[in-house]
Amino acid sequence: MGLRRRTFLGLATAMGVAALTGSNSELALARDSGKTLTFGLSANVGNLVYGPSRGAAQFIVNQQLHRGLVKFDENGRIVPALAESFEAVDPSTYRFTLRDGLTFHDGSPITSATVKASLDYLANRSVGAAIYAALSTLASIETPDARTVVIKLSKPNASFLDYLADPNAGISPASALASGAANWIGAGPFKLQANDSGVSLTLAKADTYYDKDNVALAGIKFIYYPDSTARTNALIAGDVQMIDFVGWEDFDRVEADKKLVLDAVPGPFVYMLFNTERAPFDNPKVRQAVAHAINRENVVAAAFYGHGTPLNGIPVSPGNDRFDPKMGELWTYDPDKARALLASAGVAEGLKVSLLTSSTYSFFRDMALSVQADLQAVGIEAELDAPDWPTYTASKNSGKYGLAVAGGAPSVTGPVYLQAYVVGAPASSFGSYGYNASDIVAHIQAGEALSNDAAARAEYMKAVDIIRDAVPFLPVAQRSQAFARSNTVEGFKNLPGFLSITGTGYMLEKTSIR
Amino acid sequence: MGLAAYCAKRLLVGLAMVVCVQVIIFLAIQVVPGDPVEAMMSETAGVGPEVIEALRQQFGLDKPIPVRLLDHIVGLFRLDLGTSLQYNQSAFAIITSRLAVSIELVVLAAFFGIVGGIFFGSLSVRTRWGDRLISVCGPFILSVPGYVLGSVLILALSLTLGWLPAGGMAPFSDPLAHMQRLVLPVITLALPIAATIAKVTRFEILEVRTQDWVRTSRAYGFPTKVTFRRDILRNALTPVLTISALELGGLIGATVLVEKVFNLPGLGSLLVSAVGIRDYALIQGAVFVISTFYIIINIAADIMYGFLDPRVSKR
Repeated sequence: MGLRRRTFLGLATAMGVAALTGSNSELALARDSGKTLTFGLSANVGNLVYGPSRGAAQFIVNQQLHRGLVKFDENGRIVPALAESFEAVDPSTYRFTLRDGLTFHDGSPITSATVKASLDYLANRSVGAAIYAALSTLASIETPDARTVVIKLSKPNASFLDYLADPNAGISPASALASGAANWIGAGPFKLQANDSGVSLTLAKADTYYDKDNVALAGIKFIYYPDSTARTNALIAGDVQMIDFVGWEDFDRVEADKKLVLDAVPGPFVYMLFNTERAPFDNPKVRQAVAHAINRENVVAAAFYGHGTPLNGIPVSPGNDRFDPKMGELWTYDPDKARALLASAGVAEGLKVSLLTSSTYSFFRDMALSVQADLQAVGIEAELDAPDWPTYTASKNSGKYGLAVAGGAPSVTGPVYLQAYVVGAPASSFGSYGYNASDIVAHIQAGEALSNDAAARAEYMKAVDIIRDAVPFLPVAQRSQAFARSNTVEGFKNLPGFLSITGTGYMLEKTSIR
Repeated sequence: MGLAAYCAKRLLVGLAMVVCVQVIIFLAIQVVPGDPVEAMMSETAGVGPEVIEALRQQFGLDKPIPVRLLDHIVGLFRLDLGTSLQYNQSAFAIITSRLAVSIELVVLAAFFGIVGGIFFGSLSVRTRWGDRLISVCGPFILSVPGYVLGSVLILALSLTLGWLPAGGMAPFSDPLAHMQRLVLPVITLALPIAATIAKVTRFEILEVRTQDWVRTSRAYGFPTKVTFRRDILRNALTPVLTISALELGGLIGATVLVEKVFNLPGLGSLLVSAVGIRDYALIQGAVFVISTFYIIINIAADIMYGFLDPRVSKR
């Protein structure tokens, strides 16, 4: 008896459904046996471009494809990478000796001339390189032989090596050193295998990598998940084995799943900016009043679902000997003191200000709402202005605000990072509009010139004393920055502090799948 | 005016509309505050106005607006939509890759929505349980927003039961994984269409079955199934097809939220993110494709009317 048409269709449908549903876990198992890590990445990185900072997702990809002279290890220390060794000849001069036989993924050699061409390109202002701040003091790069690079700076910079470990400072071939050129060929532990535009990026272990014997993974498949909830869902469903930038609202969901590991550390910070070119924030007493009016605990609760750390001073990176704990104790939540400061500034009654934030990021908006309530409590009426990100950026850079919410993710661990935040806009887009920070910068520069940590710390402390009184910017909270992974993924570590964003990507070369 | 002249006229009007839409969009995004270079460099420390200006020159954003507009319109005819600042890639290449996902989603959702709607609409007239199913489920499905429906499906079928992936897209080279990832978004998009089509089908069948020709067919003694299929359903489907065309037109815009919930790299989410960072080339390119899609559907409908009713082309 032949199959009836309807029976056949029913069977075919059932087989189709089984194929579409039942084999999901089998596929995942097949992937695992190949030791390729599937990674849900928080943004589509597009066509990699050499130099500029394009966000944390691109940092992670850069750190797999590219390698610089140095990198961060699992303890956040600078260790040699393409350079076999390095030394500070004096506070302004660094000598690097390259490893023997270095090549890019395409087999082309890496010599001291390649390194010089890369760094010269990044030192060009119009490139907008992430490490331009460090290379702006570049005096010369000498290449006495094919494996030696001597970098001379016009003034000392104790954090220069940190800058060279930045994910945007890998050494790239000549083909990438042009505006709009794609930057896929590097000297990193993984090479590009497939780029499914807008969907995923598949990398394979590179045989050209100098430390290839210690790379456990056969490859990494980055799958783009821009939506935070969709990213977490993919991890919980087993579609991916690791994700970056876990949404704060999803921490509990991930922690509740026994098969998953949440790796959260205090990461980047959020802060307030002031328009110091016009009243009332041209008056340091009013800025101090705001510093004492904001309840940081409330900000952490409102903006980060409680997953953050209140800041009563400037954020310091753990493990860096150049910070003094006193730097983190500048202001306390004290509404009475805030009211007194406002009274002494002559603006106690009916002060109205605009508070700029952005609707693009919910934590920006929620932080502004929390700050608005705190200001109201001390008699400041803040009117919220919450446009999208480009409008917010334009308003911030052109001083169209009174108070503004901002976010910071420094790329270096030392106190020199403060420069970008204290120097006022428009000279530095991270700073308060119109603020003149020459006295603070002078102390920071003096600290950078000192090789003795204790002496340098004392110099930085002078800068921080000015920050306490002048409040050129106001750090409010450090947010938790989390990666999450399947418990079968081992050897990975989220680096604490600022390095969570700029250093953690280096850990994937040490990662394996059980 | 003959049919050929009528078609030529409709095509010319369509072409003019495409250009008009592009001019309006181009000017509109210039008026909106926010600079693409400032937004792009917002995460780089120590960026001052000189760097911003140098990059603006590099990307040609310092040229006068009329010059850029002309360059853009000329580029359209060569299918050169410019370079995306965000992705450092040809906007045309990005848009075509995203368009494939959107079209696949729209076509599958429309197919299952329309076929399912007609099936359940017919069933509701012929069986009591079908009638109850449509009466209860139809309003429920139509009242639940797509992103809620999608989230519930993910929770039930992916996170709880683990039957299907929670989202994302797999390349065509892996057809099984590719189809797996389309199941839930297609269901999410197709269900409201099916509910609408089922309602309309039901109403039309009830209307048509009271007509004289149906009574005649029954009087001739044709089997009920034959009368239903040949004399009732076929006549009831004309308005259903009109509604289906409207649903199809609206679907390409409706996919945005579903793309977000299921992490699908479609054209709608691309446009939303491009607006969010003022990626001019992508905004203009995506609007070009979407507006051309709508205009082509309209022209096709106009030409079809001309075929079906010769009086239309003579007006």
